[in-house]
Amino acid sequence: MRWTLRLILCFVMGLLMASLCLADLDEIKASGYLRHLGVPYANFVTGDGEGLDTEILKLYANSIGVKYQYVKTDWDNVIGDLSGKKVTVKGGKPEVIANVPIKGDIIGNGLTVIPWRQEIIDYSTPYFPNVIWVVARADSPLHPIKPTKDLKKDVEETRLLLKDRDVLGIKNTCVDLSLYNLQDVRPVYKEGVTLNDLAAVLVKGAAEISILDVPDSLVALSKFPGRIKILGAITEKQDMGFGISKDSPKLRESFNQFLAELKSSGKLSELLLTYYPGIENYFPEVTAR
Amino acid sequence: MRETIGEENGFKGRIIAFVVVLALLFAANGYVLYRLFITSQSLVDARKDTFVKEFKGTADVLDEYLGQRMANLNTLTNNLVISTYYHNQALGMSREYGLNVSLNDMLDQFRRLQEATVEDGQLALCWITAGRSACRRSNEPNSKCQDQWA
Repeated sequence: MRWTLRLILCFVMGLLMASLCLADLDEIKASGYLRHLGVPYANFVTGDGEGLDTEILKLYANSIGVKYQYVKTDWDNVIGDLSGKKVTVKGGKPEVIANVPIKGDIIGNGLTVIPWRQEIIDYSTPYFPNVIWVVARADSPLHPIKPTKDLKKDVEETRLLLKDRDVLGIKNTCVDLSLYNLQDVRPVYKEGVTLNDLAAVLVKGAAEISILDVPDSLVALSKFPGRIKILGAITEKQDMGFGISKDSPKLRESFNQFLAELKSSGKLSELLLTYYPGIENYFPEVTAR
Repeated sequence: MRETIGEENGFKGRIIAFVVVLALLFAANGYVLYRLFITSQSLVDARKDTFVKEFKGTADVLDEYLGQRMANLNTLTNNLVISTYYHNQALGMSREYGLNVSLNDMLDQFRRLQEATVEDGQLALCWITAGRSACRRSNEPNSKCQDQWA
């Protein structure tokens, strides 16, 4: 009985704490801080105060007259740290398994728009296009596809390449193989492997093939020159956006307006090209105002 | 008789004087010719020296210039960025799927080398070309440096 009461009390306290930490634009302005939830990932958040998303959010914090604060998180907790809901994904559907404290106001780390995430959080206007590529070790017998200028056909051809192959992915991220309906592919999930490690895992020989998003692939190609190869794409274009709580509609509106201004001024393109030089070769729209 | 002898002596004297003057003239002329010869010889030697020095100077400049270009070539051939491009191409990667990354890295390397190699305030390298299927950095007269596909 005592334990049940304690559990209920903890649950209620948790809820109270979570609701106390919810912050829409007015609360953020009153607190004087914009809390940026970020997972160090590719060139979006480098973890040392740099990165594309870090710079964008610093500019936004400045534009609304508050100080910027970085709150480091990880892929397992990032959605919960924003929404206050710890979720698990089953069959592409999120299930809330616990209430957790809210630690930040906005997620910025190259967060791909995925349907299950959209059920828990809102997204800003997309600011970065994305495609999921298949990356293999350089010595893999698989040969890259010949591009057809039609992404849909390229995707079909790439998917054929993966038939009956072990492919490394990471659950509950944009490289979760279950998201892409890959038939006849044997998904491999390794304990402790994060998005930042996928290319390194390939290079070390612990896996032969993996999937990576374009921004991370670009970083990996520069980091491991000649040691990995891109076989093709398994998705058509996706979007990346900043994650915003469903309870912060004013923040979303204000941030979207800021992003639109950043884009029209050309500053967004400048930042994109700074952190991802050559990205315009894959997504020419990033230079559009 | 005495007059005849006197006239004869006078005539001889004039002849002798004439011969002496003539000899002096020849001697002077010979000396002048000799000096001319010596001077022209000196001039030829001096010209030869000047030519050798000028040629050596030009050869030194050319040697230095070619040495620098050899150093440029070494920089390029030893550069990992360029070998990576060809390695990735050999792996079958296409520009649409990743090869553009190494291509851009290579173009960047070309640009850096081109901008760093300056002679008398001018770019020393008009083009840096890397194979027929690769790319070319060019600096055509009357045009800005542009990336071109060869």
